[in-house]
Amino acid sequence: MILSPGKRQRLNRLFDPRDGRAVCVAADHGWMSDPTENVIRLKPILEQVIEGGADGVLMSYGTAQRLGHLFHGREKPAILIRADWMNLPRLGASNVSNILPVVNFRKRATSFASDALAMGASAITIYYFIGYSDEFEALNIEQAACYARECRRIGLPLIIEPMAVGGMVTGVNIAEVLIASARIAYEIGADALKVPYTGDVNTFRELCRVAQVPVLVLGGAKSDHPRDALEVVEEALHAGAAGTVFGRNVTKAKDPKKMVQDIVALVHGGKTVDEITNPLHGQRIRLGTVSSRCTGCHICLLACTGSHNGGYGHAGARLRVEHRSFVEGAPSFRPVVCTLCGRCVEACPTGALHYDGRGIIRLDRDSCDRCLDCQKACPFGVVFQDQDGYPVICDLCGGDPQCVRWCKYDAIIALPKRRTTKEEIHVA
Amino acid sequence: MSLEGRAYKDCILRVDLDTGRVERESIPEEVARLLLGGRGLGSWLLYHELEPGYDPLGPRNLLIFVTGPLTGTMAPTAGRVGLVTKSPANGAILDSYAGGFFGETLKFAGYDAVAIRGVAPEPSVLVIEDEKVRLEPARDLWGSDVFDTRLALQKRFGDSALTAVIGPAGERRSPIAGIFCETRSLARGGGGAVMGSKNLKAVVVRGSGRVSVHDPQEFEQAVWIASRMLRMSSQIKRMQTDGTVNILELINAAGGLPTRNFQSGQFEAVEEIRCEAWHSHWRRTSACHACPIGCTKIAYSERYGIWIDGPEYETTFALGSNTGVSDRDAILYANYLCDKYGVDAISVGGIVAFAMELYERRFASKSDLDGVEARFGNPEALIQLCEKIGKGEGVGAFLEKGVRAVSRAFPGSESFAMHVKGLELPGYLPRAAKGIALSYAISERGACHLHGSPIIELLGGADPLTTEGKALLFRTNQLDTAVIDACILCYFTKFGFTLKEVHQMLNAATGFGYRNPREVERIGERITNLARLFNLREGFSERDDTLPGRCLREPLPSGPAKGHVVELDRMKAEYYQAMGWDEHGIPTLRKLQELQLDQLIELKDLPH
Repeated sequence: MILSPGKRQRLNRLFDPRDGRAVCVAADHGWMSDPTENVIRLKPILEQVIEGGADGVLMSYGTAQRLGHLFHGREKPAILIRADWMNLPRLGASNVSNILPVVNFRKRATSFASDALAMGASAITIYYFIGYSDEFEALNIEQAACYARECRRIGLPLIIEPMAVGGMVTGVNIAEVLIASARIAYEIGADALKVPYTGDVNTFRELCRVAQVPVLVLGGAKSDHPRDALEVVEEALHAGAAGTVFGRNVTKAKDPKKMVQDIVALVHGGKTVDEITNPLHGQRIRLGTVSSRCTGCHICLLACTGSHNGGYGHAGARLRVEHRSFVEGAPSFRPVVCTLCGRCVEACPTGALHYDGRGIIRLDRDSCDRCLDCQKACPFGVVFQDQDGYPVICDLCGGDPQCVRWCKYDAIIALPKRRTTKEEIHVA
Repeated sequence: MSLEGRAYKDCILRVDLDTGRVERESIPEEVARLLLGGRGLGSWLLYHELEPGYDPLGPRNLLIFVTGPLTGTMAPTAGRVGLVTKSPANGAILDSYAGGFFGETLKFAGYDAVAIRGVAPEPSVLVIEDEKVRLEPARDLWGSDVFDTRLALQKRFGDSALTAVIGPAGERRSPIAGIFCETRSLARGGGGAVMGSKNLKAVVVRGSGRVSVHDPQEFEQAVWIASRMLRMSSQIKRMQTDGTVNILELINAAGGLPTRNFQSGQFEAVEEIRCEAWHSHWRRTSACHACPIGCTKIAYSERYGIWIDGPEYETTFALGSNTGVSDRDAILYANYLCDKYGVDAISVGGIVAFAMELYERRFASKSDLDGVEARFGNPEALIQLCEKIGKGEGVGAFLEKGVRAVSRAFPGSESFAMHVKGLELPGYLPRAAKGIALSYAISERGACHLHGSPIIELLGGADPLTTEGKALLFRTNQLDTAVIDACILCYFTKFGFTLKEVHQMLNAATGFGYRNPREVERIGERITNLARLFNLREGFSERDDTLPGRCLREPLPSGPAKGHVVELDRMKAEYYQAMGWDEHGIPTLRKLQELQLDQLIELKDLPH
């Protein structure tokens, strides 16, 4: 693709020439989104973002004016300017189905591309709304084309952010609409795209294919679990994305620097989400519980049965949930898991139960005489019996416990296990 | 190839209470593919097997508990149970859903549906323990309230048994009686009365089986993606921290919170009943089966010493703003009474509000109302009337017949009798949200907010005051929701994922190979048409697709929608057209063939 020298220079500043990828952070959220502390006290957060190694930071013009000095120096991130704005606050519903108030809703240009250029920006970002009435969409195309013309003239890269949020967008057409909008944005003259994840690799791959220019996946609303946000990055990269523009998932993170570093590790470092988010990766673990977080949803039982025997059910799970409703007083829910206390191993008269090299309890069916002394010895009532009469005991799913993975509420967690001795009893 | 192992149990359990006979049959593959399960399967059974015009409380009406293909799997929120029957409130097709754990246990016991007909010779409990099915006498439980019944059943059958019970209201066949599944309810439309008419006090289920899916690996991946989208949604997060009542303040700000029997759309004491105010009563958050949303709040009222699951947005509106009551403990207690006696809180709130307006406008005197000082905003009156309605005592025996029946006794009150097709209105002011107004008018079971009401209208998703585009907006939501009800998932999943994700989960679970989300949407359209056909066969017509006079003719006195009425006719015509129905709202033969409904039902019965 033949680009103007100015555009090429500036894109090279943003996208790492070694891998053609970029990690950008969106810090352009104003009251329009949610004027929380991460918006109001942006400076310390930006300092962390810069330390984390972001390639670019998206800001409003006013913010860039005040905080642009943070970006002095050749190793600092590139500046991206948000050149248009909405007139109403938006109610973020999810990363693909933001709800925008269409009553009197308008989008307006707030900066010329040349303003951004003078600010030292390496690109501008503009919205492109799709899924509304024809008239509103036509206006959007005109505005975007206007920016494209100016950007071409002055050699500034244009990043278009398609937003499929109109009332006509539904689950039936959302992927189609996003894919179409990506292509339209390319045809209008975008040099890169900022796009929400379509939700799955296949449709996002198609989006990247038709977009023809680098696609940066955006993060949407802050996720409680950083892992979820990082998975979206991993999947998008897998589908062909050239990087990220994550905003609230970074600026609202407990540790913004760490979050940027994690994204950098995925985008530039070739790491996997598992390597990044699982501090106990490959280590000996045991299960722990935090009863106050349990909501009694029982997904842990389904995760257990589903991953062990095929088929979902409660019977045959290797853990249980104590579930008392409130009819006779305060409600309580409590996951009860194997703590690797070893009483079962101790009680086994034939030696059929033993710890393997990773501290996981294993049953040697050949030497088991199905006496179920192990079941009687279990202080937690989490040794069960399969249909053939053999004991069923938690095997930590071989080191990646599915109950932990699926518990949204973090009521079951993985903890480091120090020893495999029998006397180590943890009462959760 | 059997459906067993492809997310279904491939078993419809038929119970004839007259003879005690139990039969099992499989589900025709074509029915499953075209209608999924849940609402689709239930509607198909009812359409086929119930003779037109039959008395909903007669022995041959079917009481059908249904699960869906996703029920019992790991799909987020998939533990719900559905109920399909002919409603004693209005003779329309009734479908109703409840969370909790009853649905998934029924599936683990091995059933996609349980269709019950006949009348048990004495008050009984239907006990389903995997393949063992039996009737047990329950004369001792007859007359007990919902809570006592549940406790007694737990003692008798153990903690692992899940129950669906009726209270005294169901026993006396009140058209507002619900069926209560643990702390969740199949409340609307009088399903409890149908159960009561069958002498059936409870259904007890214990299930030790499994639900297997077609492609476990692909299914897990699809479920993970859908769950992740829920986890990443800020709307869902609000649900978890503030319950369903989280939207109350937004609805009030948009002028859509029904206040004093739908006279206005903003409640001056909203501060008292918005979500922040409830935090002092909430003691614990809980979740239904496999649900990563966890919107359930367990509340405690110190004044009354009672625990309750709630209050939800709907109960807060129904027993709160709509009766003008802002006393939180009173609202909790009124909600508690509804659950205890086994009645639908939305309908009860509507009836109490109507009684209050009758009283204030001097249609009804104090002595007509057993001496209750039924002024709007009087918490004592709310509680006294709830108690009377729940027990069916005194004026309660008259009021429990519903707003429509009560208004007949007071000529001139019809215009403010807030019901559609005999079902009391849920919590969004029709004049302030035109798309929702349309959905109330059309909904098959009567005024309903769960059959595709575009609630986003009041949350910034569309201009609530224009009628333009609302037919299509409603239609889209309606078809989406019908699919959700056939799966069975929870409506709130819509705040995090869409039919696109449902499509992926369904294909992996069933192996039906739906080509795209559009094909899944067709299932919703098919079900909606089937329900329409049922009602047409029962004698419903376009004249029943209407709203109370208050919505159509009284300009709203205040708020953002001041001066507005609902311009229903235009939206209705656009909607019929968008559905491919004729100008009288009757599905055309061409449409029905296009939807392949000719493969499922006899088209010669059609009302043409």
